[in-house]
Amino acid sequence: MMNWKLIRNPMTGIDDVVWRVLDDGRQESCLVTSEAYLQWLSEGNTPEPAEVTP
Amino acid sequence: MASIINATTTNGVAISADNSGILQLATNSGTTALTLSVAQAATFVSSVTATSLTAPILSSATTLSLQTNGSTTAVTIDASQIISLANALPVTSGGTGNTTGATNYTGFKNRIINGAMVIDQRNAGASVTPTNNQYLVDRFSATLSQASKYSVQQNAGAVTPPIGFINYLGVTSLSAYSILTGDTFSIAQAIEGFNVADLNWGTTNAQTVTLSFRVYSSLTGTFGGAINNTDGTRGYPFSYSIPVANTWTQVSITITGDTTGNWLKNNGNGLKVNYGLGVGATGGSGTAGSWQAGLFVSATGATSVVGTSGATFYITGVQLEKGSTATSFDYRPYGTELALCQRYLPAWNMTAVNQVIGQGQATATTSAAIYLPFKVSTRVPPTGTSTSAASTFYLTASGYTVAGTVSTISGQYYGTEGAEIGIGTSSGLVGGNCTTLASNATSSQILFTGCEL
Repeated sequence: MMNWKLIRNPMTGIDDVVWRVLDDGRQESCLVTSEAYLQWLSEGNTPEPAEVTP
Repeated sequence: MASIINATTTNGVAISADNSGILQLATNSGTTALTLSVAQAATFVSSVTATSLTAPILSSATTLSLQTNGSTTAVTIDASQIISLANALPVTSGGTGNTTGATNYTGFKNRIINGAMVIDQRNAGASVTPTNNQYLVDRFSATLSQASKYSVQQNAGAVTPPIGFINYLGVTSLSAYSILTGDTFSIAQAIEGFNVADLNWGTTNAQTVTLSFRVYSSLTGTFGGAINNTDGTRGYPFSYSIPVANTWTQVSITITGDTTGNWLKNNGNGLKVNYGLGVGATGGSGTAGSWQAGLFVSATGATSVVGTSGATFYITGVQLEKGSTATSFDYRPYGTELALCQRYLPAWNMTAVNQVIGQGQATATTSAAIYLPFKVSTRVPPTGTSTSAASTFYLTASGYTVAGTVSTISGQYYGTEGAEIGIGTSSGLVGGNCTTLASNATSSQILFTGCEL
């Protein structure tokens, strides 16, 4: 399973969503304020940075 | 006084007359049996036996009562012809099992959603080995303190469901695990506060409820569960028996409403119904049969399903209703049940390729935003998405051709009426143009998460 990766909102320019691909190919995303993601952060994990489109 | 026709035991019939206008018939040498008044009203001293009665069958100036067992009233018909039953008309007689006026058994009788385990939007009948708080068939979740001790599947083991049902939720123990004092293994459904507000729990007007269900296990003995409130400060552990292995047993448990405690009546967790699969002493077990302070999910001494490798625990027909009697299961239309579930899990489960999921706008040559309106207003806005693999979707480009290969799907804006998802694709879009998101497989799936209780 890949790490959570930040997604930049094209309209606001804010990285407010994280996304990842699971081992079986399914994809998940959630708000950076969601409980599960905050729990993951609290365990010392760090997300991949968002890709910035020039 | 009266004129009397008397059947004696010595001299045959004796007649005495006066001018009262009243006539009496007497038997056994002078015992009055029937009196006919001057207004022709008949009064029988003893019982009346008749092979038939003709209309008007019976009449009464005010109220008519039918009595049994001496003089116990069974049925009353008042002056306005309103019928009242002293006791409930049983389900087996076409009734509801409830005394007239005692409950509102029409409408949303069963407060459990998907109690027949028919809707399985997430897993479509596939087996899962749940993580803690993972959802199973719709509206039911798993609680576990140790991973990989049981699996859950709609219709696991493929046994014949109880009569009237086609689905059940099946739990299978994956090991012989000896539970620790703090362990908790259970399945549960939390009911939205709006849907149990009329129970008035937490007040002196708290209503009695009855929980009923069908259960089947490879184990026998006493099993446990509990109802608890949202903050885990009030709980009612209950126990029930499964006397015969591998046989469906119908269980009914009546619970007096809790007159104290914090019971939400909004879109939060109104109450939670738990079924223990193995719960330690400090993991949520309590003495069955009364309200207590604390968080409970099972009863002390209950059988541990996870304690026996391969043990099964199947359940269906779960119903929580107002009143002190378990009535027939509240079968709702499939579409209604699905809509009820989608308030907690908006889902797109496509069944063929080239099915349109939604439309939106390309934001660049490799990205698009698609708005998906929900079919049902959700309890709260979602907070995430869970989708099938990117290859199970495609976007359309000019001329309704396929725009590259989808790589990423992520939620962007969430509301209770719909959500916008961002799609990344390899190429082919024109910024500002309209584009369509469609299924590229029979298993294409988009779930919006975070609305469940």
